[in-house]
Amino acid sequence: MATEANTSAPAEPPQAPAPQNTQNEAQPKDQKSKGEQPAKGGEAAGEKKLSGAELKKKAKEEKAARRAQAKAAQTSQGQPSGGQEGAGDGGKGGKGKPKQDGQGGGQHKGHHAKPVAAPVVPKEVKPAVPECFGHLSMARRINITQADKDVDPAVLVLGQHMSTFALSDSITRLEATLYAFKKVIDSYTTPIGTTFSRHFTSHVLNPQIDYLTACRPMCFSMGNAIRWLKLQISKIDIDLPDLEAKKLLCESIDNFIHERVTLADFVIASTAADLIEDDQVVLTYAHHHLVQRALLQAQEQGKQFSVVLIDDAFERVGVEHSKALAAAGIPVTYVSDLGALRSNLRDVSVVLVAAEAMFSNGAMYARSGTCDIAMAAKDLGIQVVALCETINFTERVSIDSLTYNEIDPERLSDVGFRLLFDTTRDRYISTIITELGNASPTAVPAILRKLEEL
Amino acid sequence: MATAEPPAPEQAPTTELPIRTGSDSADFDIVATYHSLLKSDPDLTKPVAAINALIALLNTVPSTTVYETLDIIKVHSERLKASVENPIPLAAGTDLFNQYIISSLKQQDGSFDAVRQHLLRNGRLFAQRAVEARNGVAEAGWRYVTEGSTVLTHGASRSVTGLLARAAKSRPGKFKVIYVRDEWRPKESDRVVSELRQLGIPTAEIDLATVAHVMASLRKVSMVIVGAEVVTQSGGIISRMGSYQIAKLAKSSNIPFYVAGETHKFSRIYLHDQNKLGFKQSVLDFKLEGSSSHLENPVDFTPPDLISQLITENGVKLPSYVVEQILDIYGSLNG
Repeated sequence: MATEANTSAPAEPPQAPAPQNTQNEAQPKDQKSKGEQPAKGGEAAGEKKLSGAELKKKAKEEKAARRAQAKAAQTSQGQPSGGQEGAGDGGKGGKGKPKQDGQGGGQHKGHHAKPVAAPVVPKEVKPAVPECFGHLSMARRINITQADKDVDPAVLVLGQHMSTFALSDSITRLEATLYAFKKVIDSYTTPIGTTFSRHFTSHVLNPQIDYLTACRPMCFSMGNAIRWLKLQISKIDIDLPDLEAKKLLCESIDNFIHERVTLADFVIASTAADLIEDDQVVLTYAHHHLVQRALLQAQEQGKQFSVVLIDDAFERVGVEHSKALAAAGIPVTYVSDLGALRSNLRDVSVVLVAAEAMFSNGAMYARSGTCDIAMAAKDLGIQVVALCETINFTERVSIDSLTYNEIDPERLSDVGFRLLFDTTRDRYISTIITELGNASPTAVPAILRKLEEL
Repeated sequence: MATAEPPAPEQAPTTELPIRTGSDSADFDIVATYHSLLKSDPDLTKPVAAINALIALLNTVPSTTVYETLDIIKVHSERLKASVENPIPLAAGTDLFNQYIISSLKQQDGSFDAVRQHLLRNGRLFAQRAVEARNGVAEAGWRYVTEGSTVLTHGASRSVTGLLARAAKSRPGKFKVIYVRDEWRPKESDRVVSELRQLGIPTAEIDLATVAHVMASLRKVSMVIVGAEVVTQSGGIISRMGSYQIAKLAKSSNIPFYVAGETHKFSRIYLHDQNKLGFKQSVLDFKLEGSSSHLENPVDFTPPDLISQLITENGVKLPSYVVEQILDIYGSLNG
């Protein structure tokens, strides 16, 4: 199909980007999914009779219909067009690519799995993201019926949770993903004539990943864990019986979660709690379970301290957080937004925040607004402590908030959009607390190197 | 512990091993051994003295099992740490020794006797290496003292004087030193200054209050080199009180601030700021009458962002080198 599209392209007048999108999207997908070849072969043969222009027209209609359907499913959903994404991702390799493949593939497969009914005349109300931000991705609600037929029910549900931000922070998403994958592994049987390690990743795991990525771009920890999982799968002896291979894999997933998440969280929370001293004022931003755990633990240890909680004005997760802290007996000052930041920081002794990810140059990727607080705190000589599990460390480098980010799907309009994260440079962070202990942000590359050895 | 007093104390107890076999490890006075070691050998730094004291301890205690030995080492390390006001430098030594034993046990497939014998036979090795390391620091760093430069230093670090001596050997009379005197230790200051002058280095003496003035005078100071008691995990240093002040002044005048220190001073301790040095140090003594007391051996913490480079026997490194080494040796960041 890909080759057809290519040969027909020159005959076409260089037209609107939409048809080429389909072509772009079709390409990686078709190369990948060789398993569905028979079915597709028939389809392709049918399509071959159409002329190039007709083919394009059909593809365009189908795409429009899909969009309309998606619109109906979710009114506020935006559309950072695939063309922009394709252009943005074309240059860079690495993780950008699977993400791109995922989005294209997911959609396209959706259409194959369930041919779209009446093509609704599309009234394109697309809040356009300017081209320079085209590389930024966004969570989108994908109708369950549009998902690939190979997607496991557990993963389907997980995808819905992720796209609606019911699971939002990186560690919760990571954990849920790994548990869902365990179910996928559990329900899998190797077809005759192939082996687990060769068949599973490409034919079963990848569609799940594609679907999840289509629901919401993967976070760095998920990328790290999936890379790890694929490595484990590839290491499985081809002579190992299915049952044992599955058991082995599930066990190592359990161990992975135990070591990198459960134990890590425990160590980080207690290290952070040790940091808090009597008569201190701890400032924290919005809500993160690590920070909450650390504060509650310090309270349990009998430390007398108070908390200033600045909430995220766009997502009031801090309300519940402050209630929980207050219920535990910690005096909490609730601040609704970043206004009057400096006066709120005046009596603060330490800023405690949690990171979504750490870049290898020591920069912290966290809820947007964190950087403002860190900069103001550093300016006032207050130490800024970031909590982060090492599974969230990425070898990539970022010095701004635009290279890697996500658009808030709830806040995308014609006049603007909001980003979910920001990047805090290493100089505004005093300490990062990981399960390996306290470290300065400049130690991130050394830690990454150490993790590779393990 | 009179037995541990001679300059080569490890050999002495070895010969006396049979006499001591009956005694319990509790009888061993690790504190006295440590102090006598420190006094008897001017080349010993605190971490190395602590290591040697632990080796002397192993000499006196008949080893039975690995676990028991590790336990004895732990108990005595704690005792030693509790006995001094500032335990951080010697803790760097005891930690390293503990890790050394554990890792050599791993390498030797748990043949504990072999490790123990090796240790006892090579008790002097640690001290030797410490001296070699100091020479290595001098060798790695002396070229930084360029012709016509002026080095500002303070304290009585042997690594620094060693480095300056090495530089004076190759560039006699080609550089000058400004020595910052310690008001509370006139004798020590006199000694260091006369040492430097004997090396043929033109030396000026100033007090701490004059540092900013001297640094601000254009090109009067080319660099600062100080020693360290401990290099913390983040690449900062715990050093003689005043180092932090000099580092801050150097930073604001854009003068490079070098730290000369051997890698055995690298410690797993992580300091956030001046508040928590890892031990109690009450600098402030508020009084209405009488003269304020002053501390015997006060230290402060210089954060890594004020330090240009660390001069170690492995070469001249950025502060972030420390964390790599710590991860290599211990596998984790905090104890």
